Amino acid sequence: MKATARAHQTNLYLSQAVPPEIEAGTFISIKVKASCPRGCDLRGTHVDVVTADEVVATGELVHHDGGRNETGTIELPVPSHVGEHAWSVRLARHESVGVLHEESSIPLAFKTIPHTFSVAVWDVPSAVPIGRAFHVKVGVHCSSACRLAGRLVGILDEEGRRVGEARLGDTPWPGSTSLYWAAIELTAPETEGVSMRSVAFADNETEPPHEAVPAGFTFRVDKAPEHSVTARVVEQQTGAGVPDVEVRLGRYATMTDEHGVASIALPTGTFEVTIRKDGLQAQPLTVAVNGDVALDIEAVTVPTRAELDARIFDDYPWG
Amino acid sequence: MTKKDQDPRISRRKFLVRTGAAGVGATALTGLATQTGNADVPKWNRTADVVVVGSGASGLPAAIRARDLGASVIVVEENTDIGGHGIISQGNVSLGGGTPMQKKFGIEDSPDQVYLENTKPEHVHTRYNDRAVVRAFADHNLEAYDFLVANGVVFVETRPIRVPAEGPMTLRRQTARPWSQDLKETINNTAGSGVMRPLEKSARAKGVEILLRHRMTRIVRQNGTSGRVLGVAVKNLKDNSVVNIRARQAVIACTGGSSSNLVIRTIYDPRLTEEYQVGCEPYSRQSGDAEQQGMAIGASLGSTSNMRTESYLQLTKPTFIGCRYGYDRWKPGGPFFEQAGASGISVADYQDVICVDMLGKRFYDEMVGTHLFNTDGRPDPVFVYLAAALSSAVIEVNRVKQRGGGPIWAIFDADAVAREKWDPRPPFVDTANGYFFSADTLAELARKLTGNKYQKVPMPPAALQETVTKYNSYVDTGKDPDFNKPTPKYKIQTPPFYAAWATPILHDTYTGLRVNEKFQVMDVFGQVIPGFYCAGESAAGFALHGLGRAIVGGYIAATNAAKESKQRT
Repeated sequence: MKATARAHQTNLYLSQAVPPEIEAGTFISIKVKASCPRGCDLRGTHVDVVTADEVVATGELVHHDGGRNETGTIELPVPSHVGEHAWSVRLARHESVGVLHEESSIPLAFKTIPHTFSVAVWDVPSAVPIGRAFHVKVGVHCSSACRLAGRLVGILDEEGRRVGEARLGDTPWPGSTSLYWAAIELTAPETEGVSMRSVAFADNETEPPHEAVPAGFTFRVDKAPEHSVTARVVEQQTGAGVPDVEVRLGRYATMTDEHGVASIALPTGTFEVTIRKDGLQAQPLTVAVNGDVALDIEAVTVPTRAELDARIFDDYPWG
Repeated sequence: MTKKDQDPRISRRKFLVRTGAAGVGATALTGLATQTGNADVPKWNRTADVVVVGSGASGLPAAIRARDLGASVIVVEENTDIGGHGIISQGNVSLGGGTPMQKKFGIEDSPDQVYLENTKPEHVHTRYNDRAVVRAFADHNLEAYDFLVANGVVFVETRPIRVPAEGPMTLRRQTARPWSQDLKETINNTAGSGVMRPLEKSARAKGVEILLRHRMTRIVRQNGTSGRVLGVAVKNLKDNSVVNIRARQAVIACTGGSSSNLVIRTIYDPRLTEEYQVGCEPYSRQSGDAEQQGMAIGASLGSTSNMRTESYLQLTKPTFIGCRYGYDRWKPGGPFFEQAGASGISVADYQDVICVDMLGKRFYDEMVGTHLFNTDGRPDPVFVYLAAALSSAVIEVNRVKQRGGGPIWAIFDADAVAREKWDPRPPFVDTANGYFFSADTLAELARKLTGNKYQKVPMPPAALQETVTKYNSYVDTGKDPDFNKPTPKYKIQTPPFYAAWATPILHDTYTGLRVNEKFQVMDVFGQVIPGFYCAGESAAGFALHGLGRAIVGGYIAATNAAKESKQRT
């Protein structure tokens, strides 16, 4: 068929709106729909995503539903600098199914924003003896999963002095997606109480830019432990030692070994002793520690949580 | 919507033109109540003596009782199966007065004792119960028990118990034997099947017709808002056709309360916004159909304060977190598991988590339990937790400041997962629908929460970070000066971090349409609406938890409905 004299107008649409803010240096995916008033099959035609001076990406119209045509997914690389961007999507004047189709275009506006660093600090000891060295683990995550291996992370004290630092390791923390981490050695102050430290991780020279969510952590400084407490957890009926029980004296906690025995070093003081294990219960007791102490903790077997879950509605207060 | 599907009710515009005197400023309810002379009766497609709306713990007893008394009965049920809340329940039926099971275990009881215990002026449950309604209930306990047994319900031979949610009562709670182990029949493998399936079987055997996937859309009254109730308009949800069913004697509305109905529940309590799920959803909804359609024909609500959330079993912490429907543990493989999304995880020790609101702030001591009542009937501190959860966040949406609840998130770390021995993956948690999230850092976790549709504003990442840093310092000091959580034990520090949906759950409605001792519905002028009955969770006046009240209510309503004279036209 020969092209008719009158060309068809065309219309473009984005299948889904583009988020107004996109992290710099990442990608966004779009699909573009195109149509003309006659519902022509425009498959095989290309649409371009363009800036003021270049074509960023091109996609082919591959679907036609009788009315509209649609491209497959077009991956757009987003600029790695922060700012406003006024791009457009353009369908050139072309001939489809023997008919001339006019050019059309629609704006594609968005803003690029910095990535965000956020931080986790873990393995902070429950209490650190005065003046002693200790380690914490510090991990840094980028909201766009940037690789952060080798970057320097620092710890600042309450006066803003840098009191420790390390370079982030090569592999993310197990179970995380992109948490690059390092162990950092710190020293406890000479006074008892709770101390606060903050994490310094800002790298203004990198492109794309990053902002950081402020993060800090606290730790408890205690007198040095002088005494050893040995606790044996026994099941009341059988008299057998119970393994894997958390034995807690105040803020100091440890687990029992295969014989049901837990040992822990403590400073002088009075401590509430509690235990924790699924299906086991013991009355809390208070112990004064001013020398080495050996404790027997009698525990009784109670329903496990799975057993309680199974009968949760039978007992209380529902149904 | 096609013309055929349109609600046949008179339009608001037509109504104002016809009544004129109602005035522009009149409320819909007042306006309707003054309307006169408009029959607006549809063409009937079906006829029965008694039409029962709902096939739960009130509906099926009502249907069988009416049939036993000689009425022809049609039951209308919107769900794909019968049973409502009753079949998801644990099959505990509190009935007393001296039942055979009570006698077997030497428990002394009498109808008077049932009455007196349910009208105790001192107890939070019972002090405002409608005396006439409770008297009727007390006098029908024994009959209802015998009725259940005669219709196939088998009670387990164990000593009846009591639970605090039912008040300081004589031991009356008797448990039905589950119908089967088949999830298709029991829905979630609970003993509620042992009440509802035998009743279904008996109802069908006696000739009760049950229309599943049929939803009542209107109660038809003779003159709009005066005269007898003549029947119901029903939508067949399978093909969207309209079925108008005439009731020669009565309509009994047993629609199970209104906790799932946003319009009705916010009449009672404006804090009960859309984010709260209701126990037994997604199987059974407390649809509010009786209340809405009843009010449209001039019915009155009663005892609305029973729906306030700080004294009864209307609202609890979820029993399972990390899933939308955390009241029941939905079992994988059951017919509704896909809708439920996940079975959830239970918290053995709330020392392992903190609960934060949608802005990332704690609002109360997480350690308060789910025990709702002290033994003396005073509310437990968990009510204060729940009240805080319902109103902790002030947010700005479209430049309008709002105060409300929003999602409550349990926040914890990898160490808590190890201590609790959780498996934080589907089918235990619902990651697909945004009820469970994990992230490398707390700030990243906060950013992800907008993946939940009720998280209307982003949780500020720095706010969650700060909340946890502060909480961790309370672990160092052993004291929580904000909310007095007793000796916070564990820091939230080890990645990955988790957020599990822990938003409170709505349960019983405890109120609805005002009824008299015959369970006839009363209008806004205090008069009986002839031919209209209501029982169970949609009926007001008596705030007793459990199946017993629902069953007896349905039984009494049907006993009276079947005595009505049969209308000829």
